[in-house]
Amino acid sequence: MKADADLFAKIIGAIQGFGETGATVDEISKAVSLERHTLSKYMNLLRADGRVSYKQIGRARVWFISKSPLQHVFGLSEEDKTYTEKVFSRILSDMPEGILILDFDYNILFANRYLTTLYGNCVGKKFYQTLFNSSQDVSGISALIEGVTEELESCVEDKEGRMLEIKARREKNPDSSFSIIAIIRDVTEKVLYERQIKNLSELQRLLGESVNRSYTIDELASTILKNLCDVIRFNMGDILIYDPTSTSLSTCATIGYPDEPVPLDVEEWKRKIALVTIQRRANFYFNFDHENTNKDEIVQAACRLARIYDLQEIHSILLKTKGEIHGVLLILTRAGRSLSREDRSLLEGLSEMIAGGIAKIKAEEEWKLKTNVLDILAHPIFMITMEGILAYVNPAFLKMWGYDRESEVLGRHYTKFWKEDAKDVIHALRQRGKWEGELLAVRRDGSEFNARLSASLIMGKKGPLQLIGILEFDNGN
Amino acid sequence: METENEITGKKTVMVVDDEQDVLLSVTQILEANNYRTIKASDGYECLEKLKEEIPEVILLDIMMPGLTSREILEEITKDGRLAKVKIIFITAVHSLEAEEAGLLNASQVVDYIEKPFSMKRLLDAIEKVVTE
Repeated sequence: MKADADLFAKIIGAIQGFGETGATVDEISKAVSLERHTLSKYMNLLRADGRVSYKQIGRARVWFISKSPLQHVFGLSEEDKTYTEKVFSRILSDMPEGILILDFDYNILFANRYLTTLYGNCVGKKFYQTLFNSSQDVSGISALIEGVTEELESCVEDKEGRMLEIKARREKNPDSSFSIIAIIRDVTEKVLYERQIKNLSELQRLLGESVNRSYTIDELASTILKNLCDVIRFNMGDILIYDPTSTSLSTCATIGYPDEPVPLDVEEWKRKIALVTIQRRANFYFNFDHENTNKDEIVQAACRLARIYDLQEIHSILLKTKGEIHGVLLILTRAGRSLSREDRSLLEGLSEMIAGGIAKIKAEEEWKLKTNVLDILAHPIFMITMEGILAYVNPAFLKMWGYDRESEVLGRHYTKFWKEDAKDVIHALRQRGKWEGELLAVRRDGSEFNARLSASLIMGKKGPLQLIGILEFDNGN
Repeated sequence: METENEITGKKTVMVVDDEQDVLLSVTQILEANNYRTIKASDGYECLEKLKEEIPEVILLDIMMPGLTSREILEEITKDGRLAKVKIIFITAVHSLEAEEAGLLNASQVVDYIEKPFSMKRLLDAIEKVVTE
């Protein structure tokens, strides 16, 4: 085997010695001192291996070193191919992914049917121009050509907006030059799907953390719209928040609307659509038809909006959770763009989550408001856990007991702030649900004062939650 | 024949809640406040027990598995024996949902308390009903 390898190397070296003009079998025979028939046998083996090729010039075959073995295989006419070459080329041509062979100067030497369907006949053209309409490489293949790496995996967007997954490697040719062999797949659907999942996850995370992250409703709505737009790819959208006491709507986020001036009535039409959706307590779906004759007020408003923005569809989706309507999500698509049934289901499914996020922020804002009321109340108030640990005190409590900060009292047992008889209060609260009576309180400085306490157990969704106490001053205090 | 209520002078409150901790805690506290109690974990048990005994007040959780609160309310309102029974709804859902379901319009429904609630508020509400 080694002898054969040595002989092959000797033959290739001899052909290389003849340069670009190539050599006939007679010339090679002389150069390697092999009998013509024996040489022919080795030449055919080398050709089958793709390392040498020939051109028929008149009656003579002139042999060359194959610069790119694969190019050679695909360059041959069908009748000149060996059986193996025929099978091999068909397999590559019919593969459900793109096969691309480049030379060291980004020239396309071979592209299979998958790629010619996408980019036309591109052999001989620059790779980066054909795929990316760019004047230089954007795929990372330059790292292979410059020898920085031997293998490459990348995902890039082509000139048509397709996401291409490229797996490429550098292959050494028999003449010591190299080619780049790349396998290319259009993964647009996969990438979009993954992006959708990522955006959905982000959306869920945002909604989950909407209160913890101290979002305002406007901030939450803007972020939700952006994420939804990335997932569903609609053209324009609004989130309108509903105030049931004044039965009015306010726009807290919009996306995608053009900057150009539009009639002032546009906002009114959008509110009309949203308000009627709320009144009817049912989502509204509208597909624009120029011949529409429906006189329904919501359809009329939708038609006007569709004409201004050249719309195809309007989706007005209630943001409703636990029976309460918090607003409306308006989704608009341009002419020719319709949402799929899956997208509509997704929007309807997400609407309750969005409403939940808005409800959380509203509840948080309401709680903050109530806390403010407690903060300005002159009566000391405290909340304790079922174990008697202080969980909340208002400023009046701190002032009455002579403390400066909440941190000085929270986490401590409530009995530390009273004389001994307070121990029975928690027991009574657990047993009887409420307690009222007089206790002797102990200030920070050790001084004492009489206080009338009214306390109650707080029942949560799953059982007893906390105990709350409010002080009513004795006469004279 | 005198009923047990008439003998003891205690008013009876039926507590209907599928959360066992709430059911047990509320009934224990009511008993400590001198009420007789009847426990029911769902609508079926509630209606079944109402065949045997008629309380003064029913504390009815709105969201429970099995019968809906509307169905329970319908059964109670159409049963002439229960015409004087007063109902206080206790629920974790927002009042708008109860309003939407028309639950608060029934004449026997006297109050509506949202969880979390203070026991003082509940005890005051029951006391108001039984002394009227």
